[in-house]
Amino acid sequence: MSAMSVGRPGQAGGSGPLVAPARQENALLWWAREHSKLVYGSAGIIVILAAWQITAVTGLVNVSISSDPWLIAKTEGHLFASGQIWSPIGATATEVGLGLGISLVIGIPLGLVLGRMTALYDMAEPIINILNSVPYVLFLPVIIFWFGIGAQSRVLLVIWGAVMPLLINTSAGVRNLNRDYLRVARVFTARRLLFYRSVLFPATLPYILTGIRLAIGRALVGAIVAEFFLSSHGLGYFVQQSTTNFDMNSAMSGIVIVAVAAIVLTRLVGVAERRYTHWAQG
Amino acid sequence: MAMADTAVNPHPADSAGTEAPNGSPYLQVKALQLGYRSRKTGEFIFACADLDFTAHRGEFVVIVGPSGCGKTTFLEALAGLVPVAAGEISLGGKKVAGPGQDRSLVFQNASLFPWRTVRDNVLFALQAQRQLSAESARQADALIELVGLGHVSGRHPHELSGGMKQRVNLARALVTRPELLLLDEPFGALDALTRAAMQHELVRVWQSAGLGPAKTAVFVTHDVDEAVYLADRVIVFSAGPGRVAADLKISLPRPRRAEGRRTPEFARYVDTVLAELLGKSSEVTPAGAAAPEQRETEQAEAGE
Repeated sequence: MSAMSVGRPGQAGGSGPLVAPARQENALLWWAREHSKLVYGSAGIIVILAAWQITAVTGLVNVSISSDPWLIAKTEGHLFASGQIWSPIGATATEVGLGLGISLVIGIPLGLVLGRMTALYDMAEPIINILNSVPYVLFLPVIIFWFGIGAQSRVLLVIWGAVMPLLINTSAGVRNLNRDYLRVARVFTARRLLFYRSVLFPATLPYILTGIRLAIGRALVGAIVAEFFLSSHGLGYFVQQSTTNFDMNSAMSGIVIVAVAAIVLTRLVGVAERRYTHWAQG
Repeated sequence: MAMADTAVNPHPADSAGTEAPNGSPYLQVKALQLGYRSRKTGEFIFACADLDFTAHRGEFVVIVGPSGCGKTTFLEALAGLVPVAAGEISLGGKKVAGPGQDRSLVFQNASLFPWRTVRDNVLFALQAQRQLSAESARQADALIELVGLGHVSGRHPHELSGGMKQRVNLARALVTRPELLLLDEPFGALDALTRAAMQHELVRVWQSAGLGPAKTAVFVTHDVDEAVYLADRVIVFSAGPGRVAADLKISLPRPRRAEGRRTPEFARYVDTVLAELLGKSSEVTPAGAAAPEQRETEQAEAGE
């Protein structure tokens, strides 16, 4: 009897002190259950890649047109080993980084101020909505006409795309500010700067991070499209050139790099959300 | 000149020595009118009309009244959050025109910043008043300890119970060492047990030596029991628009204890306040056409 109760402590709680039931499953299963979204998400990707690989290997599709996951992986290794991919990555990263950085510096403070000043907001809102509803890449020809085909035009298109969602989300967040916070700031005679820095900014941060999420997508699209039209480097140009040369493996490799960059950047926002706005998740 | 004086100030007797150190009340409210202009009709709707009221330094004054009597609006006017339509509020002889560092408000909703820890919420008041130093932060820690939250000092508001949030709310108001502490039904949303505990706690913190000289307090509630338990003086407001219907001195000994609530003396005070409250409101309600609208605004304010 005693051997049994040692083997199954969960059953032994009847008379003695309270004992938590033993975990019946193994650690791996438990981990999979805790991270079920990750497990299922990965499974979906694996299924698609496997189907692609099988259709390519069995000759169902022409590999020279469609490429396949294994060839892409090999090409990726070759591109990084030879170092020839670093220059396009560097060019695109610079455009996206610079454009996003400037967008943050402009969009967040402007959004905070705009949201606080009702008259200014009412004046700006229709213009912002109109500019935002026009696909922003449509402004590229105009930007080229004004600023030429240099790097500044590419960065400008990135800013043009990224700054709008930042501005809209930040000002929307400010306008949804809990009135209680405002009253606390007023009763304790907080000065304007402290109010903006320590009340308005943190209260609006969940909205700002949503804006950043959207801005990242817009910035990547802006950079790639700009490279299609007015560049001889960058990942957009790389993918375009590879396709023109019927080098589908390299083209797909370029796309994979952009995809990974997008996922990493979005994940960083997720980390920031969990770190700084955990209080907003209820 | 003499004529102009009387026109501006209908209470010449009070205007004499507002700064006088002894005897003269610290808080003076004269012929105060509060309210707002209705957006629909454009007419001015009174929350308080011709309110006269004084409080001495160190007094704990509780205002009771039916909902919609303008008591919350009055408290907000004392805090400087609501503009004065007519009349005057003065503190120690100085006219109130907006929020000031001599006053703190304990809010009806705890109104804590959810992104700040308990400690940082309390420190915000010091930050806002530019009083944050190593010394004042130490005092803030002592105050957090005093309200019984030392063990959750590093937690965020969403991890706290309603009673704990109101303790933080109280500590934040006290940390700036205000001359006048304003409390807007701070325990109204708590369950009966927690409310009783918090009332006891407030009396304890109020009487504790660590806070320096005795502070003046104005506490708004609709709970008569709470009013008698806490107050040196109970002011009964009549409904729509708010007026002082009765001013009762509560001469129960301090420090007060929970057992004191069961004495016949306590019950007599409660009965007296209730009689004033019910008598006056039943008299006013049928005549007061503005009363239902008033009630709506107060609820709207409470819901914010």
